[in-house]
Amino acid sequence: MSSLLKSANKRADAKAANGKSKGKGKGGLPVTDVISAEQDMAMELDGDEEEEDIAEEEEEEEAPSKKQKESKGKQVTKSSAAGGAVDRTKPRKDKVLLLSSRNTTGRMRHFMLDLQALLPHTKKDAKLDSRQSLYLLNELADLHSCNNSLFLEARRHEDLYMWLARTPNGPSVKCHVQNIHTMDELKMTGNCLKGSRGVVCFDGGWDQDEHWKLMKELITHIFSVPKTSRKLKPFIDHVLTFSLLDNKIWFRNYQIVEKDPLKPSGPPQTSLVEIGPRFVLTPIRIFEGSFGGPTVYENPEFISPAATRASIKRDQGQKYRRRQEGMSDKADRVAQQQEDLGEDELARDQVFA
Amino acid sequence: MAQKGRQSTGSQAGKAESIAAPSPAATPQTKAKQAASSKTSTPVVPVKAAKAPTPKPEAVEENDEEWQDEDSEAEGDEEDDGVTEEGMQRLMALLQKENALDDFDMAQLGEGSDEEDEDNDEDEDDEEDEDVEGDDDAQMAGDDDKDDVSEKPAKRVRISGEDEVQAADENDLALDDLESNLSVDEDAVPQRKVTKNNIPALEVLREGIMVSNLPFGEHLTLTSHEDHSEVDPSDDLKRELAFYKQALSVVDKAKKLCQKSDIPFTRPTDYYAEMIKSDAQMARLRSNLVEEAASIKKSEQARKQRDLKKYGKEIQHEKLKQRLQDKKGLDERLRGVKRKRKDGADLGDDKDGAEFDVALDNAIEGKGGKGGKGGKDARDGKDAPRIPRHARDSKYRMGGGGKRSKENDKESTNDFNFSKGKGGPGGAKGAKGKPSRPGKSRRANRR
Repeated sequence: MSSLLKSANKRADAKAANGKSKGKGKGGLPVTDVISAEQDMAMELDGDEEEEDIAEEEEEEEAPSKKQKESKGKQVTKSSAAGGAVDRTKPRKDKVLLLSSRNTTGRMRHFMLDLQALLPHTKKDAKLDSRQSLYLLNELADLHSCNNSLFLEARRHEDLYMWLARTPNGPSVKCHVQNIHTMDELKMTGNCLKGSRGVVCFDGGWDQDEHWKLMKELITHIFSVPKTSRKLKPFIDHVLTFSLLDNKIWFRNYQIVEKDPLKPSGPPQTSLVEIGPRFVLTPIRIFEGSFGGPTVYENPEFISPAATRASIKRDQGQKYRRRQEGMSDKADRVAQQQEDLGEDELARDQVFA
Repeated sequence: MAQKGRQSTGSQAGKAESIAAPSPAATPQTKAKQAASSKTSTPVVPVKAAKAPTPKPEAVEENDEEWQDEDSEAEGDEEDDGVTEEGMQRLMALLQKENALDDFDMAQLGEGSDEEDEDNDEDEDDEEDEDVEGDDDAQMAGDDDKDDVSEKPAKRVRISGEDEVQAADENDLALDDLESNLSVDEDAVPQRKVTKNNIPALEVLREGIMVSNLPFGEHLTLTSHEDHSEVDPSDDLKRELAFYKQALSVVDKAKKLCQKSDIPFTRPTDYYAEMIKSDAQMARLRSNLVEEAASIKKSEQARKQRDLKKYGKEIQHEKLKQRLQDKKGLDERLRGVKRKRKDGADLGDDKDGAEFDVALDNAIEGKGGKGGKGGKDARDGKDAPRIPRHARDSKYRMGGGGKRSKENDKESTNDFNFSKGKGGPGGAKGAKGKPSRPGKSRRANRR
């Protein structure tokens, strides 16, 4: 009963705040149910009166069925399906807040700029100062009217983490970024229009596990440029590739070349040239909320880079320690031997004392 | 009681787990509670005795230190001594009615956590259960540096969506039923440690943010059927090839779909706009490519040169040897011709002067004296060797003896016969005039 009351209150709050739900991702708060979350999101996305009407209707429909939980569960799924159907008629509106933490290195910064150049629907903001209060990002995204955010968190000047999040209500994914190659590198010879939409390509592995499926949707939100984006140029001239290999996500960006450069008048032959950037993501956790909330998935294979480095150092230290032990052993042995021999009767002290 | 204290001071994770999982293995805390409640209801039975038959805690806490396990076992042994027959019977009876006890415990638990109304309905209790767990969870999730929280996935569904909770309830109920039967089993299989992977919650979350069910024009995503499962991630070339193929396999399909949904695909050649890489960058790229090609060419040439040098010395040696041999052969032949001359005709004959030259030629070329035709052919042939310097000198040079021989001396001063050349062998020739050299064809015929 109480949970239902809570959700009802939540909904009222949400409406009062003109469709902006608050503080859901702020960790310690009690968890709301999915209905309110979905409705909040729907309002956030469209903000239309129609939408609110539908939400109210759903609410009314739900009221009588509260006692029978099974039927209610079905109701929820139905309403979510209905939400999807409403979305179908409207163009997708996605905007991504792109920012980094402090202490990024040059390479990381260039990487971020590459992403910004590649995705015309991003909005770049100044560095986020505090590492603890990530929930601020929700408000920041709200200020920029973004409903996604891509946050690059640098640690110790060498590790980079990437947060992919749907902002006010989640979910969010935290990934470790490795093997960054920026577009400036000379081996990436391709080029494409700035602000053109790219085809986003996934491989077959993405449909095998549930967490990959979820990440696929998130990545689609963030990396696929919506039709309605401003600064958009027509034509599709590049492919963004997300491949799963070794439980990691490998990103590549290729230019589509439809003519053979050697035979310009010949039949069109499609080939690809890499534009860049390149990076590899290792998912660490998937959270229910944005930048927080309960963990719904955790990568069992992930070992933090700090731990890896520590183990390497420990191994190196081990070698040294063994040598030192050997030396001290030898010293002990010598001392022991001398002790065993006892004092020499003819030692100078003995004779001349 | 010490054991109970340890349990309560145990890690948060352990607590959450124990509350969340009313599984047959019987989390120690609930057991302890049961024991406590049994104590309250039957004061005759000593607490220790009540605890004795419960399954050993190590069934669940596999990760705790060894000493604790041993300790608890030892405790158990001690406790067994104190059990009275009567107490055992009562306990067994209580265990049979476990469901009721369970409810009671749950209600007690519920009090502490929330403003939950005291409802004896089992469903409600379980839900509350889930909530308690959720709170713990929420506290933990923010910080990923904390220890792993191991929980059974089925228990963790609370997160979102009533339908999930429903599913969890069903699951719990089933397990509860089992529990009454299994509680006696001491060797219950310990719960396996599983990292979080809450599949139903993931599903719900995915449905909440679904975009790929929109028409293609909205999201432009395509899934290729290429699978990289057998690609070795450390083999750069193969890996990149796999990615390339994956991307390429999608392009044609994308083009068709774009045409279907009226999205312009190919950029016309006269469409100029800002590119993602600046012109300066592209120029740098190009110059780099050119440089690379040049350096490749250069290195190839250098390698060829090195190879040549390796064999060059041998070739040079061979050549020198060959030259020496040629010279030796030539000298011999010349000597032969001279000998023949001395043996045969006398020197004074004017016709023989020309003939001597031809014979010399033949000798130089390594032909027999009489084989005139062959000699000529050989000279005209492309592979005919050049006449050596000294032979040419002897043939074409005016006179001999160098500079000195051209100087005037007593003899030449007194000689007033100007018609003859200096130093010529035939002083007598001069009177007759220049010996006429026959024409080329005639000379050829004569030979």
